[in-house]
Order: sequence, then C-alpha cells, then structure tokens
Amino acid sequence: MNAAKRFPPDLLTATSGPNGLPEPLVALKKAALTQLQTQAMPTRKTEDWRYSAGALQNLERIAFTGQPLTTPAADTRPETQAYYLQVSNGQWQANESRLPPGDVVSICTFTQLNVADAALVAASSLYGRSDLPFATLNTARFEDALFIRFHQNRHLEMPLVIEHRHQGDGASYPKLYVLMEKGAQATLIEEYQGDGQQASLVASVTELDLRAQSQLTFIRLDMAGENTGHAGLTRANLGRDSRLSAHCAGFGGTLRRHDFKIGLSDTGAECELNGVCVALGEQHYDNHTDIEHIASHCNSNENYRCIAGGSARIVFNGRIHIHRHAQKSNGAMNNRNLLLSPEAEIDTKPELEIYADDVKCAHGTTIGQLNEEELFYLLTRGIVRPQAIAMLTLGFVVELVQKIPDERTRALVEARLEAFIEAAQAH
Amino acid sequence: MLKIRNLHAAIDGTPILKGINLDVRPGEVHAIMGPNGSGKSTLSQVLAGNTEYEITAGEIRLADKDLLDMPTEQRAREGVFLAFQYPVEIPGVSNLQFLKTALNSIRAYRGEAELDAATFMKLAREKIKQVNLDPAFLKRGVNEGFSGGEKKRNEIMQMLMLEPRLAILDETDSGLDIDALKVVADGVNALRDPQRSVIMVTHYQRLLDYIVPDYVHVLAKGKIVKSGGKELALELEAKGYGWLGIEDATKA
Repeated sequence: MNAAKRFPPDLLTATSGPNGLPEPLVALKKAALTQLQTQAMPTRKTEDWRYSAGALQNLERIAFTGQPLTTPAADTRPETQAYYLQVSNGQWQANESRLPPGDVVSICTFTQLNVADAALVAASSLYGRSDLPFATLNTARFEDALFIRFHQNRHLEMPLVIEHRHQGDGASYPKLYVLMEKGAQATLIEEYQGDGQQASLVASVTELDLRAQSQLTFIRLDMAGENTGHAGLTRANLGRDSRLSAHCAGFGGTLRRHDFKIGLSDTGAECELNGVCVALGEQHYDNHTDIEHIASHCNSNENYRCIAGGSARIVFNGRIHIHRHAQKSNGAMNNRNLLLSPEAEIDTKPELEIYADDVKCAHGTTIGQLNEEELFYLLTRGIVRPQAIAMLTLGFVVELVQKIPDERTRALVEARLEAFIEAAQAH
Repeated sequence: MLKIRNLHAAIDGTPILKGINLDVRPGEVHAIMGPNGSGKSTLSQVLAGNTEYEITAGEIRLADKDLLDMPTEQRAREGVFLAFQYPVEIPGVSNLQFLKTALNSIRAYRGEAELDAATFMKLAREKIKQVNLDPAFLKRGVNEGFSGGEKKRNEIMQMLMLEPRLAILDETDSGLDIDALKVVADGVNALRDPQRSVIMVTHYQRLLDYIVPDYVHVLAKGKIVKSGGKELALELEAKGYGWLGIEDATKA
C-alpha cells in the first residue's frame, strides 16, 4: 500500500499569524495546523474528492518564493455604484478601499475583535473535516481576516464589493466572517481575481451568518486566471425568516473547488442558490453544494448550469439534507449540463437525504449537447455556424446570468462567458 | 430562380423524394399540395439544407448556383428562407438578438452595412406590427411560450425582415384561424415582387384564396404527379386526391 500523500510542506509551515489575535483564535489556528499535519491529501477513494483528486496534483507545481506584492489593482467601479474592499494575497488593503457608512456596516480585522465576537468566530469555524481540508488549511494559515458586521435593521443601499486578488506564486488564505444582524439588508459581491501566470493556491473561507429577518444577496465570482488554484468554502447559516439569494459564477482553472454549505437553521428561512460554471481545455471545476433543512417551514431553490468544452472536467455534487424535524420543508434542485466536445466530462450527483415525512423535495438533472434542431433553425436564418453555436451556448446559461442583480457584475460575467465561448470554439 | 432536376432524397435510408422536377421563375408563386406523407415537408427541408436528409440524386440550382453545394447558412444568405411548419423554441436567445444577428449576417453577405441599433429597432417594431404580434415578443426567447399561431406569425415577421428572394412556406396555414391566416397572407403578398419567388407547401386550398398562386403542383409518393394553374387547387378541394389515383394516407 502506498503511503498516504501529505500536503506539500510549504503549505504546512507554521506561522505565528497576525500579532494580537484574540486567544480563542490563536488556539484554533494551532489546532487546525496540528490536524493538517497528520491529515492525508484526498485521493480518488475519498468520495468527496473522487473526481478532483487528479487536479490536486497541481499543488505540487506551486513554488513558494515569497515574492513581494506588486502594486494593488485599481478599482474600476464608479464610486456611485459600489463600496469596495481590496484583499491582496489575503491581506486587506485598507488604503485601496472605499468603505460603506460606519453606522450601517462596521469592518474590522480579526485582531481587532472583542472577546465575544472572537468566540463567535472560533465556535462556528469548520475545520478538521476530511472533506474540507482546505478550510482547515485556511484556518491554520490565515494571516489576516475580515469581520464585517451589517447593523441591525439597516439597509446598505449599494453593493459591497470585496475583491480578492492573488498575485505571484505561493498560497494565500483569504478569510471573511459576515454577520448580518437582525433585519439587516445588503448585497455582497466577492470577486476572486488573479493573473493566473504562476501556479498558486487560494484557500478561502467565507462565513455568512444571517440572523433573524436579515436579507443578503451574495454574488461570488471565481474568475482568476488558469493557474491560480482556488479551493474555497462558503458557509451560510440562516436564522429565523432570513433570506439568502446567492449567485455563483465559476470559471475553470487547473484546480477549482467550491464548497457551498447552507444551513436553514430556523423556521421560515429561505435560500435561492444559482450557479453558472464553465471550463475548457484541460480545466477543472468542482462544485459541492450542501443545503441542510434543519428547521421546519424553510425553502430552498437551487439551479446550477455547467458547460464543459475541450477535455475539461466539471463536477456538480448537490446535496439536500432534510432533517427529521424539518417538516413542511420545500426544496428544489435543478442541474443542467452542456458538453461542447466528446472529450469533456461532467459528473453530476444529486444527493437527497430526507428524514422528515411532510416535505416537498424535487430534483432534476440533465446532461446533453447542443440541440441540432435549434442550431439548424439559426443556420436557416443566415447565421454562421460558430456564431449560432455561441448564441446557443450562451443561451444555455443566460437565464441564470440575468438573475445576477448587479449590472456591472452581470456585464463582467457575460464578457467572460463570451470569451470562454470564443476560446472553446478555437480549440 | 429555382431549378430542381430529378431530385431524390432519403432519410435514414428510406427514400422520400423520388425524382422531383420543378422550375420557379422570378416573381412566381407556386403551391405544392398533396396528402400527408407525400414528401412536401421533406422538399422544404431539403431546400433549406437540413443535413438529416441525404440527397441521393439530382440537382438544385438557385439563380444558376449549385444550391446543394452550399451549407445551410449560405443558402439563407443567398436568399432562401424557410418558414417552418413547427418552429423550434430557443429559450435563452432573445428574438431581438436573433433577428439582429440574422439580418446583419445576411446584410454583410450582400455587402451592405450593419444596421445601427435604432434603425434596427424601428424596422423590427414596424414588421412585428405588420404581423399583429405584441412588440413585447421581441424581448422573449425565440418562439418561447408562443402559441402555434404566434409562431407562424413570427416566421412571417422574420421573412419580412430578411426579405428573401425565395420564400418557402411549409404548411404555414395549418392551425391558423381565419384572422391569423389573413395576417400571414398579407405578409406574403406584401413581399410579392417581380424579383421574388414563393413556394407554398400546403395541405389545404384555403390559403390559396388569399395568396393566389401562379401554379399548383400535386406531390404524391415523392413525385409531382400533376401541375396546373390555380384552378387545380379548387378542383382538388372539390374532388379530393382520389381522382388522381392518389390515396390520402390520412383518410386510409
């Protein structure tokens, strides 16, 4: 038997972390690191990594030269459209930020947390789970992290954009804790960017803590260049009558994994989860979503559409778990997939676990190619084949893209999708 | 305009067209009638370039160019337009985007400049009014959620936008009420021009009351078995196909 493979040692080097981190978090980091040093990397035999174990080999290509950061990217958003935080290689660039009003949102780093908030963060932290090794890595290695508090019953009028940018080689560990206090309302956009020139890893964790009656629109763009690996966990916990509307757009790379875990923890909570994911060439993208109906009278509605071209591989693993006491749950999951070439592969796996008896829970999954009849129709109108293919390909996901409730973000995603389709055809 | 010689076509190895000969000159309107299963729709699809049909023999020339040699999109750019019997729904592609891409693609082929957004919109609104469809349809997906009649009117609307020189209407009249039929007929008549030709494939004589053909052909078992003037359609209406020695598969 082969010896279990460990994570590359550069990832596991102990760091002291930021000075002045509150005690519960120091202990947490230490525990996570210890855990990780004994933990083997997932293999093909690890069910949750079955289709992505190959992509993990890219971790070995990463060099750790500790290059200094180059200049931060400029914010191109007009001031009147969004607030903006920039995080470069896991470090918040306070100087590059445009902060929302302090009476609506307060933002601090983990080192500035008071005892109660530090305890909150520490208690909710997921680490040590074998299916989430990168969340453990994030906990062990984060250098700085942001705590964002949306104040009770306040409504942030413009979206808050957080741009995570990775430059150079090595790894970075962005970490974010978002607390939506009772009745707060906001739109949060997380954008993962990177030039993708050198092999690197971003291991990110974002916690969304939605208290009673709060409403969060959450948009996550995973669009770094190809060689910037990204293994991210987004975790949302929904309180009574709260609502999460989430939109994810993922573009393939050498290693891309997104775990989205949503807990509907109190009565009346509701989530909508839309995802668009594309990959081409040799790229990879693995979506693992997990919606837990813990309390009764909660609704979830999930829609993912994936497109794979070239010899790319996409995974969609969608789990809905309806707990024993979650009566009157209403869950729906739909995943549609489009293969643009014979060598592309999409592995889709709906997992419904239902332990309550008075629930509605539906799922549907399709995998297919472009519809020949639709293609013929476009051709008979004089549209050339590559353009007809592009229109149908974009048409496959456009419905979900149009649901992204921020115009600039939508345009950004559309432009990237158009570039993707063009590149997919050139292959 | 169009010359079809000894055309044979098959699908999945089954011969459907077994030697079609047809001449359509500029400005003429030809009606092709015949019972179900006679090959009417196959002829339309073959003309438009559906590659599911295999051409086993024969020749088609459009204005002296070899039509069979052209891919589907080039036929459209050369001015062939097929109004489908069953137009497909394409959710995700808006009518507007679809029409604009098609029109500009054909214009580019003709060496004409692209239409700017405002001119295009004005044209699209004008044409959609002409076929009595709600302009809101322009923003919906192509044929998405349209009723049968709305789909047919949308086909005519596209035809008016693209101004083909050979329009093929495949049972555009079937399933239409009398008002919609008039709308369709008005659309086709508006396009009639000494330089344009129309082939109307139809099961019924009714449409021919509104679009008067120059010639009527009867297609049976993959061949044109009788040709005549517009009075032939009336004769078919009165007597059915039996007197021509044709069994109507629908009545069997």
